[in-house]
Amino acid sequence: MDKVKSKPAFTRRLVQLYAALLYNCHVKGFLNGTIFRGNSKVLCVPGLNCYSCPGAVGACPLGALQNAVAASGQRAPAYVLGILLLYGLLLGRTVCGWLCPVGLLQEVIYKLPTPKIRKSNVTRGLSMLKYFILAALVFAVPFWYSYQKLPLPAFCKYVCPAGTLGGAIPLLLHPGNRGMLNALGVLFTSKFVILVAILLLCVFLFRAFCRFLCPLGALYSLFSRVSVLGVKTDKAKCTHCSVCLNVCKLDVRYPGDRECVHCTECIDACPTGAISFKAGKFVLRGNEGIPEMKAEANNKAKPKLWKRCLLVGAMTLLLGAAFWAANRDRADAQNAPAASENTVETVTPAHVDESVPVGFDPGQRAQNFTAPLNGQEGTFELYACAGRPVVINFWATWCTPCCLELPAFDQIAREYADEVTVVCVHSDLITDDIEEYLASYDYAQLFALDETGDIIASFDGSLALPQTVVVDARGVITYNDMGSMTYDKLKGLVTEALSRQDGASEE
Amino acid sequence: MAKTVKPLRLLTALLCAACSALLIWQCLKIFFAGGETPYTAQNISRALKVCLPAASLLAASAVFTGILSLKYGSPKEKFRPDRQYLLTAALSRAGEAGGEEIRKARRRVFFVKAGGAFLALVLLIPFAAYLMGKAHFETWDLNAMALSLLKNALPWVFASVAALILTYYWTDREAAKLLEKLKKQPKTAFTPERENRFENSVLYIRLVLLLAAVLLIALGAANGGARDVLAKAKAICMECIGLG
Ligand code: SF4
Ligand code: SF4
Ligand code: SF4
Repeated sequence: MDKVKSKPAFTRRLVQLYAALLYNCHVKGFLNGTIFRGNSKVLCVPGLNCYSCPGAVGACPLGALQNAVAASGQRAPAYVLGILLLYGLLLGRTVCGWLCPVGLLQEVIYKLPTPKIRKSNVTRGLSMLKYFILAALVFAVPFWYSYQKLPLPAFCKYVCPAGTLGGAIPLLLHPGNRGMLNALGVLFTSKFVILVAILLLCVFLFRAFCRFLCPLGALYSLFSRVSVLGVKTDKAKCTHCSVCLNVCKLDVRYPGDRECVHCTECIDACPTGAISFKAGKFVLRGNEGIPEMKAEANNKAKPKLWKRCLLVGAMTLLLGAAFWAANRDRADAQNAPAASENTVETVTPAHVDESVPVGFDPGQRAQNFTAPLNGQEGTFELYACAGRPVVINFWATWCTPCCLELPAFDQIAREYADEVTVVCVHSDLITDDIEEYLASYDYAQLFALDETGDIIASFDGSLALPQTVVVDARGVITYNDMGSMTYDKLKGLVTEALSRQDGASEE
Repeated sequence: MAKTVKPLRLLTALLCAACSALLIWQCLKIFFAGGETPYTAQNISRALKVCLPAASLLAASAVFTGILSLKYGSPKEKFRPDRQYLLTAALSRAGEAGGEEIRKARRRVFFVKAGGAFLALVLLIPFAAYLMGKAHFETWDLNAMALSLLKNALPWVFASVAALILTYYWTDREAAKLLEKLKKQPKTAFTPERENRFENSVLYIRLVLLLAAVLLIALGAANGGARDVLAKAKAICMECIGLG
C-alpha cells in the first residue's frame, strides 16, 4: 500500500513546493529587506501568502478581500470577489491541499516525531470556528468600519500568522529595517504569541490552522460541491465502510466534503473505488476498487521515472522564468527611489542651510519637492515654507494607522498655525476618493498628492505607511520614521524642531 | 525498539512545548520591560540567545527520534478517529441507507448526547451563581476564598464533568454496537434522489458561477477595485506585520 500512496504524495509535495517558491520568487526582497512592487501584484495568488513577504510577487487573496470589504463604502468589492469565485469554482479546496504555502508548512511541522492528537467530534466541532472568523473578521468588522471611514482588515491585524511569519519576521530581521523595530508594540507581541501557539498546535494536530482558523479555507470550502477540480465520492458506489475516514487526518465526513483538502491519499484505500480525483467529468486519478490488487500491480509496474523528470523539468523551467522576471533589473528600478519629477532643484532660499548635505536621515537637508494641493488650487513647495518647521506626513485612505493618526496632525496644525506648516501627502497609486474621504472631516492641515510615489521615495520611503518627517526651519530633517504617530509624540517633535529654530536665531 | 521510540517522541513533544513557552516568555518579557520602543536589536538577539539551547536540543531530539523511527518503525499513530467520530460520520452518511433501526439508534444517541450536555449545563448553574455572588470575594483572603470555592462551588463543576463523561461512555458503547451492526449489514450503495438531481444540474451551476466570476472581475477592473488591490499590495501592510 505504501508504494501506491507515495506516488500522489510525491507529486503533491512537488506542486506544493513549487507553488510556494513561485509565489515568493522575488529573492532580492529577502536580500534587500524590501518588498516587490511590480504590477503582477494586481493578481491574487490562490493560497494564503502574505503580500508583505519580501518575496511575494502576487497579492494575498485574504488580505485583498478584507481591504476590498473595508473599501466597500466607496466601491463594491467586485474584483476580489470575482477572483475568489473563480478560484473557488475551478479549484475549491484543492488550493489548500496543493497550492498553499501555509498548508505545506503545517504538514512539514506535523512531521516532528511526537505523539499526535487524533481527530474526534471535538475537532470536527471546532472546525466551525473558521466560518465564524470568516464572517466576523473578514466581512463584518471591515464592513462595519468602512462606514466609519476606517479601513480595518481585522484578520490581518489581529490574527493572521502568515503575515507575522512571512511578512513581519523576514522584514524585521533585515538589518536595513532596524527603524521598524521602533514601531513594534502590543499588536506585534500578541500576533507573535498567536503565531507560536498555532505552530505548536500544528505539531500535535494535523493542519490545525487550516482546520480551525483559516478563513480562506472556509471560503473555498463553500465550493466543495461545485468545484471543477477535486476529490469526489461517487455516492452510488460508496458503501459507507468508513475506511477513507480512517486514512484521512482531517475532519471529513466523506472525501470531497467541506473539510477535504483533496490530497488524494484516501483514493487507494477505498475498497469499492468510489473515490476519485476529477477535473469535471475527467478522472485524473482513481482506483479500480480492489486496493490490494491495484497495489500489487503498481508495485510490479516500473516506476515511471521519465514522467517525474518531465514534471520536475517543466516546473523548474516555469519557476526559473518567474525568478528571472521577478528579480531582473526592471523590478529593481521600480523599487529604487526614482529620479523624480516632483523633487525639484530650485534656487535654494536663504533660510535653507546649504552647508548641510542633502539626504533623508535626521541631520541631513531635505530635498525640495512640489506637490499639487488636494481640493484647492496651487501646489505645495517645501522650500517655500519660509523659515518655519514643516511636518510632512505620508498617508493613504486605505491605511488604517494613517487614518487613525490624522486627527493628531490636525490638532498640531491648529495649535501651531503661526509657527509650523503641516502637510499630509497622500502617497502613491491614488485611489479616487480622497476628496470624498476628506469631505467628512474638517482637518486644518494641508493635503497634497504624490501621484507617482517619487516624493515618499525621496524621503527613503520604506514602502510602508504611515511615515512622518519633521524638517526644521533651516530645511534640516530632525525626524524621519515610519509607524503610527500620537499627538504627544508629534508635539514633542515639533517642540524640538522649534527649539532648534530658536537656537539658530539666537546664534 | 518501537517502545524506545515512544518516550523519545514524548521528549520531543515536551521540548516543542518548552521551546514555544520560552519564545513566548521572551517576547512578553521584552514587551513588558516597557519603554517607548521595547523591541531593539540587542533585546531581540539576547532573547534569541536564551532560546537557542532549547531549540538546539529540540532539533537534536527530533532528528534522533526521526532516525530511530525510520529504522525501527514508530508506534502506530492514532490518526484513526475515535469511535464517536466514526459513528457520527457513518450515521450521517448512511442515515437513510441504514434503514429504520439505524435511524432510531441515531435519534437515541442524539437525545442522550443532548440530554447529557443539558444536564452538564444545569449542574453548572450553582457554580455560576456562586461566582456572581460578590460576597464570596469581598475579603480578598486568598486561602479563605479558595477553601470556600472548593467546598461550595467546585463539586458542581465535578458533577457537570462527570455527567459529560458518563454521556460520552454511554454513547461510546452505543457507538461500538451500532458500528458492528452497520458492518454486518449488506453493503448497499445508495444514491438519494436529490443527489441525482444535483449531479444533473451541477454543470449549469458551474456555468452560472463562471459567468458571475468573469462579470465581477470585469466590473472590478472598471470600478478601480483592481487598482486598489495593487495599491495595497505594493506597500508594506502595517496590519500584516503587526505594526498598524
Ligand atoms: S496578514 Fe495574512 S491575510 Fe493579511 S495579507 Fe498577509 S497573509 Fe494575507
Ligand atoms: S485552509 Fe488556509 S492556510 Fe490551510 S491550506 Fe487552505 S488556504 Fe492555506
Ligand atoms: S478525504 Fe481523502 S482527499 Fe480529502 S483530505 Fe482526506 S485523505 Fe485527502
